Amino acid sequence: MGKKTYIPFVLIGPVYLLIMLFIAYPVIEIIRISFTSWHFLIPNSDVFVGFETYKAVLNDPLLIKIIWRTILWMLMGTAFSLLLGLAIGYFLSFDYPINRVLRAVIILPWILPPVVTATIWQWMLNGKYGVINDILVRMHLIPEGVPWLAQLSTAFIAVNMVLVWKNVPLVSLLLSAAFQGVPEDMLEAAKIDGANGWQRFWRIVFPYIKGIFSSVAVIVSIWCIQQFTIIWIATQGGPANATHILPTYIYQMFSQNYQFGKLGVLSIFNLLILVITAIVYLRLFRKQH
Amino acid sequence: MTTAGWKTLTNLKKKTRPVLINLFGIAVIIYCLFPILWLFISSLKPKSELFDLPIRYFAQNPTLDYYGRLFGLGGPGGQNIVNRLPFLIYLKNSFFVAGISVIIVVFLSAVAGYAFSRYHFRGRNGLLLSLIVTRMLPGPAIMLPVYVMISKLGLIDNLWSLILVHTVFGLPMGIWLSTSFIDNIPIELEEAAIIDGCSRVGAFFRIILPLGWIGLATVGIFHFLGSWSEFAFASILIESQKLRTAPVGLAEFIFNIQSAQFNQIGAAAITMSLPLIVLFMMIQKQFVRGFVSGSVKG
Repeated sequence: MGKKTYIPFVLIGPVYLLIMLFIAYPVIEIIRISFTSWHFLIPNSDVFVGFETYKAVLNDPLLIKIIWRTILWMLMGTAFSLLLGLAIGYFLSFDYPINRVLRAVIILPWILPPVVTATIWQWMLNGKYGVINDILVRMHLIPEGVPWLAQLSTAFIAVNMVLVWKNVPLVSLLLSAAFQGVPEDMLEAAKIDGANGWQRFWRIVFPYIKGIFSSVAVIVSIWCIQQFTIIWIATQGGPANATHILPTYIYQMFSQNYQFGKLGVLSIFNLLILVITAIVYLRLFRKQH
Repeated sequence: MTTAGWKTLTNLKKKTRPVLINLFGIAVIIYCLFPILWLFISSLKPKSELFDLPIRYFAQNPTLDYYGRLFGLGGPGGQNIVNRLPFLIYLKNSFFVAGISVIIVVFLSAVAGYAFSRYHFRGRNGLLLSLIVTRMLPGPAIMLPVYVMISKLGLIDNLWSLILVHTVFGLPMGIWLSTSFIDNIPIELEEAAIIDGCSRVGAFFRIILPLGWIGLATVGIFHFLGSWSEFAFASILIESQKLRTAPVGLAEFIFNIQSAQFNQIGAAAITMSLPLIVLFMMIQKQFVRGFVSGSVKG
């Protein structure tokens, strides 16, 4: 309704002005910086050098490793969050009495500030005084305490599981809402046809929620790549850079080593990973409408 | 078989499975709650118990000392680093930043969401989609240019820089959510009000705000959560200790005193989580419903 076509633009104008200034412009600026060899401590280094800095980054085994690890971090975090989220979300979609309690508390891990989440798990995963070790030793699953976050072989997977712990509640709630939309009579019909619970889930329930499931998958992958704070507080990228992903490494470069040109290139890689994820998202979005 | 027959069969099954069901439910509850509970228990332990081995699962002599110390109350430990760190001031700074930023985000999101929901203008869908894309950006990737801009504005070490940055980063999600909330308010109500002589602005205040306030409260609480918890920008844009926000203050405790005083760190962590827990317990149902429909339905 309404014929004054300028009105909506007046209404959204201020918002888009802010977004252009503080998000779009910085993105353009970081693209420019990636083509320089800018180093904060070297005067006049903020000059165009073509793809030189890109070459330098691609010749640095550590940086290549971090780029790949970012993708691995996203895939692992997404896969585990979805797997647990599917199981818990499906469970939550039934009217079990215990679900009344579960529904009331499940959101808590998700609303805690990431700094607090990292704090909790740093303490729980402590090699000597950590409660996780205590439980595992009591159950005779491990002979003695393991410094989960401090040793090379386990640090990455351990931090990833912390992120999964944070993501699972909301993934479960989103998926349980989707499960509740599955028409009752379809399930009844399948029951009459003799389908067991497992078959009902994979043949009827899951195909029905596939659309929402894929949107949730992309939302979760974005949360994973965006996550910076949990890693930074829990391990600061250590031990020996084993838990660095692009956001944490970029942050460290910004505050500690000042190679802004390289920082720009890594930001571009970070953005590229996101753009690819975004394209997947937009494809799904179009399919659904 | 009759419906009644099916019901008995289902009931029978339900009777044979409740043990498994309850076990699974309890396992999930423990998975979600135990870490938080453990943080709380540890924050109540006096120093003498914190490092007891084997671990004590309950505090023998629980104490609230470490909560008191956060607010500068007593505690004989003069060497306690936290005594010199004004956590109360950090909390105040966080409230200031998150509070003002929430007001701005809710207002701007309501206005923009109204435009997206009620007008079908050229480029509408493109602009809405661009919001999702902006929402995806990881902070650190554009931290350097943002820092340079903020310093050109002379706002480094000023809480208003955080308000600005948090607001801009919160807007895409806020607009996205409020668009879908306003979509759910029947347009006929507004049209009726306008026919009755109400202006469009009047209809906004008399129809949209009263009917959509739960949606807008969700936008506000969602943004409060984000702003209150934000660490990356708060740690680089603020330099002086008296302007620090709570997440950065907590991180500083962790980096400086590690697990040596985990009871103290735990007390700080619980304290800064409490406002969020209270807020969410208050509006949980509406929030989950609103968020689910806002983000999945898209």
